[in-house]
Amino acid sequence: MGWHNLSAQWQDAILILMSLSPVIIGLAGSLLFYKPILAVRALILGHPKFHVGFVLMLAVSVAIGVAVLSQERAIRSGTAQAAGPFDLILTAPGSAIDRLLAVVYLQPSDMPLLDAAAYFSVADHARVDFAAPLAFGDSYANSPVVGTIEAFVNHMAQFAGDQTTAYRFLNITDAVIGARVPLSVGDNFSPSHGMVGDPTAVTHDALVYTVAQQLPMTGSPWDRAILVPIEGIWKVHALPTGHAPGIEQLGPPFDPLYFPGTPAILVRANELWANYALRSEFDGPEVMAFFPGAVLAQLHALVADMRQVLSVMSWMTQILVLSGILLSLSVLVRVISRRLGVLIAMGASHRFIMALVWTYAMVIVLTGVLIGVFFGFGLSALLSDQLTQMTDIRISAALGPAEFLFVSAFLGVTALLALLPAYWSVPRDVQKTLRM
Amino acid sequence: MYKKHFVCNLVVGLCFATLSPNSEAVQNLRFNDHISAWGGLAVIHAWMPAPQRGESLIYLTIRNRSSTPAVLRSMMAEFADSMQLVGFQYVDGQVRYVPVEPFPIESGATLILEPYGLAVSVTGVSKSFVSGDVVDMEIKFARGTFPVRVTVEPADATTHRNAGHSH
Amino acid sequence: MNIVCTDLQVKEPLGGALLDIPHWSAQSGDQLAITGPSGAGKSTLLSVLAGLRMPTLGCVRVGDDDLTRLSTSQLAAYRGDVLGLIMQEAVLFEELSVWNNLRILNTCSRTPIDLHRARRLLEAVALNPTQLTVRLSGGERQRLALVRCLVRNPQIVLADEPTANLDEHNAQLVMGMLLEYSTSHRATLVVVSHESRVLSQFARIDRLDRGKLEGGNGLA
Repeated sequence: MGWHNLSAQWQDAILILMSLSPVIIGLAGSLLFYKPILAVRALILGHPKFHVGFVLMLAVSVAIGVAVLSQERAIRSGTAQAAGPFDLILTAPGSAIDRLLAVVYLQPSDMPLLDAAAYFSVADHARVDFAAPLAFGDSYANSPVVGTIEAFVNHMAQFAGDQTTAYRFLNITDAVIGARVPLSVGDNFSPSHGMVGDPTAVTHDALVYTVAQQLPMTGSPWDRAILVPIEGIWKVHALPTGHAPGIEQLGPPFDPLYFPGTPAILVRANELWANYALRSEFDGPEVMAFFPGAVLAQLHALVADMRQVLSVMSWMTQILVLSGILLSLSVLVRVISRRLGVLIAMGASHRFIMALVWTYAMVIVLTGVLIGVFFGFGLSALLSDQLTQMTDIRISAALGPAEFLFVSAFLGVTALLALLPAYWSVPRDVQKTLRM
Repeated sequence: MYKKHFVCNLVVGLCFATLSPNSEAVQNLRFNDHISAWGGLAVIHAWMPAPQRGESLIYLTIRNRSSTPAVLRSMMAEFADSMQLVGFQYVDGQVRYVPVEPFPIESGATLILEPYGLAVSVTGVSKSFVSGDVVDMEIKFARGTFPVRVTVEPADATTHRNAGHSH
Repeated sequence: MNIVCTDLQVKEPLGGALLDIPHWSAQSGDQLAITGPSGAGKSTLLSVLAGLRMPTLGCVRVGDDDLTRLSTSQLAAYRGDVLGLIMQEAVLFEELSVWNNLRILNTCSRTPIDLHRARRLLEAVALNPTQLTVRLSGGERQRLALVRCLVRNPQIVLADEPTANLDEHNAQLVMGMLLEYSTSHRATLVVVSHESRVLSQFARIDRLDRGKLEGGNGLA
């Protein structure tokens, strides 16, 4: 069985164990054969303030390293989850990243409309479950108002875990609000023409929406969106309503003669393979068909190098902090060299002195690292909360194999580096050390 | 030179026709490093990044100009233990390739297997391949087995070397 | 245990002679003092006898072993199993209790200390085992160092100015215990001192001056 046949979890577990092996072997050997614990206790109690300082320094640096690593993964995961409901998107040709940001993350941008021909070629396709037009451009307070169809609203609700509630547009003025929109069921509001934050936005006084239902949390910017029948959006902009005059229907089937166009279409296929086939079929000079997940993966891959640099810098910081601490411990050991000398005078071997100093260094480092991991949990949660507030994307960092591998590799390196002060600590001239 | 090229292709075609264990190879196949075509169905520009740790993904284009849907059944190659049609997914920030059931390619349709989309996953590759190598595989459709030449590109390639020209 | 030093020379790295003793010996159970002016080499001789310093030339036989031919771990075993050492200034682990300062000896030798003996010795010097060492007076610290020196029944006891910083009461107690131990256990006792109150208790006194033995040539 080769390495590559092992699951990722097994690979991580083996790497963590290998990284920790110098620590485990060293501590086991030291405690079993040399039993230096009493002397270690004496050394630590001898200068408590220094040791508390070392432990705190280490704890803070480990906490920051762990929190940053976990946040990066959480951001990748959170942004990918937010794109979860969007299998296949059709828009006018342009920058896929711009379209992704506009449609999935509700970052406003001007988008040309897809015409009726484009819409019906996909809506009428045998492999399509539904094709939901998404019309942006209006807003209310900090919430974008998006015109769409019931199928999209229920699709978002199911993604958020609500499999039972039926979301309906019974009237053209019905609105279904996201979980974080500061309105309640029954409230009335008039949207403005213009994106969120547009100072020139003009209120559509003639149109008053009533909040009919509220969606559960999706953990995405859509929690701040207000979903309304697309017919209302077209109507308020003096466009055909998608249906022949006199027909008061809401939602598909639309009438091609009265379909004004839409900036984006979310396509839901009826089979997994159909998504890929549809993309191949529709992506071309007139229409851009893309998988938001694929665009996001490429975007994340672009910043992967930056992530590597951050990771290297994080490691360098850890090693610098560690080196400083080990150097300080070496100096401290010089201060207590008389006691080490008297141990030698009483029969302690050089190996015992080395084991004693090594164990002493590892106890301090282990304490600092364990506290740091604990702090890291808290710091990670705090950072996640802040990022969620800032982006409306549910960022939920949890410490995982990557962080434990980082910590265990750090401990493994420490176990090897700590051999240096251990070696230097053995008094070479015991008579001089003891001032005999 | 052309004659030698033609003779080689004919010999290869005959070999596939007569020596292939399933003996369902199509006859009168148009076959070279870039294209394997017969009866309106063509497999074009198959390529794969150089395998890493025994795995890779093959990308290609299937163009169905015949009057009936083409059903992709299976793929095989001597250089790999297994091959499977997979689709790209990005789940929780992790790249995944999930198995995709064989499906019909409609008449007139072109199916593109490309990075971040559909692909043929290849596992158990024991040999080392470098950019420029050409390896053989077979794609089995309902109407017959097509031999396909796959060009190996650099491990970090996102497109094949002949991108931009058409057949 | 007998000690025999032959052609013992200890030189400084830059060439100065710290010790130049053609012959020096002590038999098992001998009690002797070594005296001399400051810088005479007294502590250097003690360091050599303790295996803490290797002579430049010569050999130091303790029983059947030549200390100059032992490995570092064999020397450590010699110091742990055979030797008891008490110095002018007691070097203790301040943060530990009196009792733990003795228990720490278990890490320095293969044989664990006899707990009953440890308690008896502490009683004899009137020390509370649970007291923190940092709270001990100077005299109490040296009494603890004395217990630490004797608790493992050493066959050779080396004392370097053991009463230099002590009042009369503690000085008498320390010397009394050293001499009594040497007599009862037939242990070789070598005390370095320049105090008359100490020297007066020894029949044999070897004088060192500028690294050489004066008068008495260190014969038993």
